[in-house]
Amino acid sequence: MSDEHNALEQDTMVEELVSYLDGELDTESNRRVERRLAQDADYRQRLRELQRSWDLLDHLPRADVDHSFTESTIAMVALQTSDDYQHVQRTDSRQRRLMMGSALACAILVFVATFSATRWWAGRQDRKLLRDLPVIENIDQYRYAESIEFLRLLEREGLFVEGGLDHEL
Amino acid sequence: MLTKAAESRSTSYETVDPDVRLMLEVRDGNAAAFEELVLRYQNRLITVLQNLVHNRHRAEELAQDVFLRVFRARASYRPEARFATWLFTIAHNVASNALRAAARQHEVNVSVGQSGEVSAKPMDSMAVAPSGLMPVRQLEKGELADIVRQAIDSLGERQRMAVMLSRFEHMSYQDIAKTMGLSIQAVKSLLSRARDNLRQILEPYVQEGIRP
Repeated sequence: MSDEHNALEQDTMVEELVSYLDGELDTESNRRVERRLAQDADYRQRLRELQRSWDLLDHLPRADVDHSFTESTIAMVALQTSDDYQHVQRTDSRQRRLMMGSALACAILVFVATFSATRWWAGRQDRKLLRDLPVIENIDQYRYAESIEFLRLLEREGLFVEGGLDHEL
Repeated sequence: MLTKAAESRSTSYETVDPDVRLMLEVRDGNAAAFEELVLRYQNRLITVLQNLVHNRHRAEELAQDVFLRVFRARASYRPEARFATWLFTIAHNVASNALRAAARQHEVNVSVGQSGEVSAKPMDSMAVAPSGLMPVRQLEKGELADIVRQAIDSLGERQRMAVMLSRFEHMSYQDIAKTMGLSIQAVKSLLSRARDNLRQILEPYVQEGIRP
């Protein structure tokens, strides 16, 4: 429990000192840190250590590229974006062709459907005449029937099949 | 459609940050402005990336990738942060992806029994190196740089990124938070832990000249 407490205290202390070194504390916290620095030698020592190790980072390598890097970067970006442009153009062209093809297919489909519907509609009367042809051909004989019941009787006996009535008569 | 607050923020960044103005010129088709941005940021970018990926050549490739992304994003650019913050946000994403890919590649290499290239020597291997027992001021500059690099390499990826942005880019906690997609408190903890880790690794060396 005490170890945990100490560890937490250490973490808070380091966080406070790092924020102080980075200039990220508000005025009140800044004053509090400075008061403690004036009184607490361990606190001061920790601050010095943190600052010293931080300053050592200046020994890390810094890049210093020459102008050829700039030139190759610009050239690479120009090339890539030109490829992007061509890709977009190719995609656009493909999409345009696809759209035109679809439009043509739709037009053909509509034409075929309209043509079929018109033909079906126009042949409607002829189909009715064709269906009624056996009756029309024998209409004179059917006039002699006295009633519709008599005709139904004849139909049940199979006299309306093609040639049936002629045969009987 | 921009809100009034966003418009006002954009205007303020445009006023205070000359690099934002350059990027707006790039957006408007000025290629020379892009070249100027590359010139201004190439060394800063490579320095940060090099310390993240431990490889100069790879860092240069990644920097070019970052500039390419900047150029590709020009049409939709809105100045909602300092230009450096925006640029290093892209750099952070690019570096994170590269490190993840490298880690996956390393896993594959290990699983098939090959030895992958590990540019960073672990701290353990430093311990078996001959101890100089030499005060830091007397050491060769190159050796010191090597020890500091080893210390940096021992940090986690996020700690390293935060340290780079703080030390080399002098970014505020707020800008680091924006760049790394973290809260300010998270950045505060991250930097605090990173700097304490560096202190623990480097202090014996600074004090006694004993290599870690």
